[in-house]
Amino acid sequence: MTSPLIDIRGLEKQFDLSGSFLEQVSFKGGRFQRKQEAVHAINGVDLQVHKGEALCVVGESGCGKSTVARTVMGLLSPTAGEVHYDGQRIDNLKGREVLPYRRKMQMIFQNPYASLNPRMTIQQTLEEPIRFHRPDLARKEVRDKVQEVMQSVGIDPDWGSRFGHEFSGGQRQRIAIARALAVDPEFIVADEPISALDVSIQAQVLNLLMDAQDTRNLTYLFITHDLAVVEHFGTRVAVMYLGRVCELADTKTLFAEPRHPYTQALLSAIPRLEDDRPNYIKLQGEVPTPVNLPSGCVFHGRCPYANERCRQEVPRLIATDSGTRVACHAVEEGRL
Amino acid sequence: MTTATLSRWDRFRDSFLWYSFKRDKVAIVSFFVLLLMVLAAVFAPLLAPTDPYDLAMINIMNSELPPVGMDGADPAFPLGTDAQGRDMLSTILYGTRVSLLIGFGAVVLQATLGILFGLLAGYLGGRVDSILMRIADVQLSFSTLMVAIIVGAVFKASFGNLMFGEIAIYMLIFIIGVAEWPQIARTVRASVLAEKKKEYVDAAKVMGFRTNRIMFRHILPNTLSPIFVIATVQIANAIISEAALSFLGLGMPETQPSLGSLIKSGFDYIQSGSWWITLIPGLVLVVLVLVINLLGDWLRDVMNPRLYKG
Repeated sequence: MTSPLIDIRGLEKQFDLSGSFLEQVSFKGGRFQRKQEAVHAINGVDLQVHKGEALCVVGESGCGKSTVARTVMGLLSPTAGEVHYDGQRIDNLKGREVLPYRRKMQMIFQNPYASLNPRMTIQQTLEEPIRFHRPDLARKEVRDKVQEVMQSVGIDPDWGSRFGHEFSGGQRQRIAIARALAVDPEFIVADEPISALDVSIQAQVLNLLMDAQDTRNLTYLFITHDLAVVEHFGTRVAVMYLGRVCELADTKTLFAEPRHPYTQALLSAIPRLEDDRPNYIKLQGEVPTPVNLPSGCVFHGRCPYANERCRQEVPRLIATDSGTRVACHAVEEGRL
Repeated sequence: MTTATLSRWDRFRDSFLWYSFKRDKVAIVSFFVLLLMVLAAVFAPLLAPTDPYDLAMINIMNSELPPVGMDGADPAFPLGTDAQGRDMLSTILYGTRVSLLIGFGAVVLQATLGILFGLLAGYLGGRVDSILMRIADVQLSFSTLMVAIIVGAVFKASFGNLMFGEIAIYMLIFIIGVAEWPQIARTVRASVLAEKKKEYVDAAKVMGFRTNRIMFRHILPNTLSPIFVIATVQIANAIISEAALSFLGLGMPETQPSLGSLIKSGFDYIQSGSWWITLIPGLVLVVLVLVINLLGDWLRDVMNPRLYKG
C-alpha cells in the first residue's frame, strides 16, 4: 500500500473547563484545593486517509468526530499527537508555511446558513480565495475560474451578484462546495455537509460531491452520523465512540460483518423496509461524560461482553483476518 | 427566479430600512429637520447675511438688538444681535457648523478607536481582551465631562488663551472622542464574539486568510449595524458634551462660537432682558440633539435583531 495522504497519529484534544487559576482554586474543608477539569474530546485517534478514497467517520453526537475534522484542518490545535499531509507534519506549521496546505486542503461545513458571509455577494465569496491563493491570475482568468466552479456545482454564474440569503439551503451548500473547489484542493474535509438539508436535497448534494471526486480526483474525510450515507458514499468507515476509534473497516465489510459490539448496536438501529420485527440491540445506560472518562475500554459500561480486563485495560486497534481493525478485547480474545 | 440583477438602489428600496422609514412619521420629520440643519450649517458662508468671524463687519453700536417683531428691532438682524453686535442668525448658522463638526469629528474618532480595540479584544481574546477591556472599564468609571474638564483645563493653562482658541476645535474633538470610545468598543466586542463563532469565519480561516483580513473584511461588515445606531446617538452626546464644556468656559472661544459658547455668552445678559442671545441658540441645540436622538431611536428599533432579522 502506498503512503497515506493524511496520517493522523495519536491525536488528542482536550478542552479546558476550569478557567483561569483563580477559578480553579476553591476553599473546602479548611484547605485550598486546586481543581482542573477538561472535556476529553479526542483520546488517541490514529487514522490514515488514502489518496482517492472517501473515509467516513461516524458516531453519535459528542463522540469527537467534528473535533477530528477541525483538528485536521488546523482550526483547532491538538493537545497531543500529529497530523501529517503527504509525509509532512502540518499541525505545528506557522504563518506562511501553512499556506500551500491551505490550498490543498479544504473544508465544507455543516450549516450552509452560517458558512457564507452574509455581507458578501457570491461572486466576492468565490473570487476572494482564488485571488488570495493565485495572485498570478489576471482579473479575467479569476472570473473564468469562478464561472467554471459555479457551473460545476450547478449554480447559474449569472447569480454571482446575489447575496447568500437569497438562496435556498441546498443552493447555499453548493456555493460552499464551489468555494472549497475554487482553489483546486486535493483533499476535502466535509463536516456533516448534508445533515442541515432537506432529504430531497441531500441526495443531490451527495451526488455532487461524488461527481467532484471523480472529475477532480479528490480525497474525502467525511464526517456524518447518517449510516445510509456512509453505505452509499464511503470507501472505508471509522466508527468513533467517546473520542476513540472503535472500528475501522471497508464499507462493505463493516456493514456485512460488524465486529465491535458498539458497531453492531449502531447498525442494528438502521430502519429497514423488509424488517417487520427488527432486532434492535438495546444498549444499557448512557454515554459517559467526556469530562471523567471511564477507565479501560470507554465502552465497557454499556457493553454486554465486558469483563474485568475491559474495565482495566484500554484496547488497541487490532487487525482481524477480514481486514477490519477493531479495538475490543472480546474480539481479540475470540469471545465475540 | 428571475436572472435580472438588482442595483444597489433597488436593493435599498426593497429593504426593511426604507420600508419602516416610509411608515414612521417621526423618523421622516426628524430626518428632514436634521438634513435642513446640516445643509444650513454646511452652506453657512453662503446663507449667513454677515460673517461673524470678520471683526470689521461688527459694529458695537448694534449690540443687543432684539429679534424682529419687538420694539427697537432692526430688520437687518432678523434674530437680533448679541452683546458684541454680531448678527444672531449668522452666528447661530456658524455655531451649528462648529457644533456639528465637533459632534461628527468626535464620533469618527470614537468609532475608529472603538472599532479597532473592540475588534482586537473580541477576535483575539485572552490577554489582549482583558487588558483592553480593563482600560475601557477604568475609563468608563470616570465621567466623560470630568476627564474633559481636567484635560481641557490643563491644556488651556499650558497653551494660554490665544493658542487654545486656535486649536480648541481639535482639542474638543480629541477630548470627547477619546473619552467615549469604550462605549463603541464594548458593543463591537460583543458582536465580534457572536460573529467569530459562525462558520463563515472558520471557512475564511481554512482558506488561510490572515487575521487582519478576517477581522476587517469578514467580521467587521457584519458588526456594523449596532455601531451605526450607537454612533448616531453618540453624535448627539458629543454635541451636548461640547456645549457643556463651552458653557463652562473650556470649549470654543467667543471669537468662533459653537452653540454652547453662544449660550454661555448670552447667559451673562439674560438678567438684563436680552434673553434671545441665550434662548435662540439654546432652542437650536435642543432641536438638533432631539432630532438626532429620535433618528437614533428609530434606527435602534429597525436594526434590533429581535424585532427584525436581516
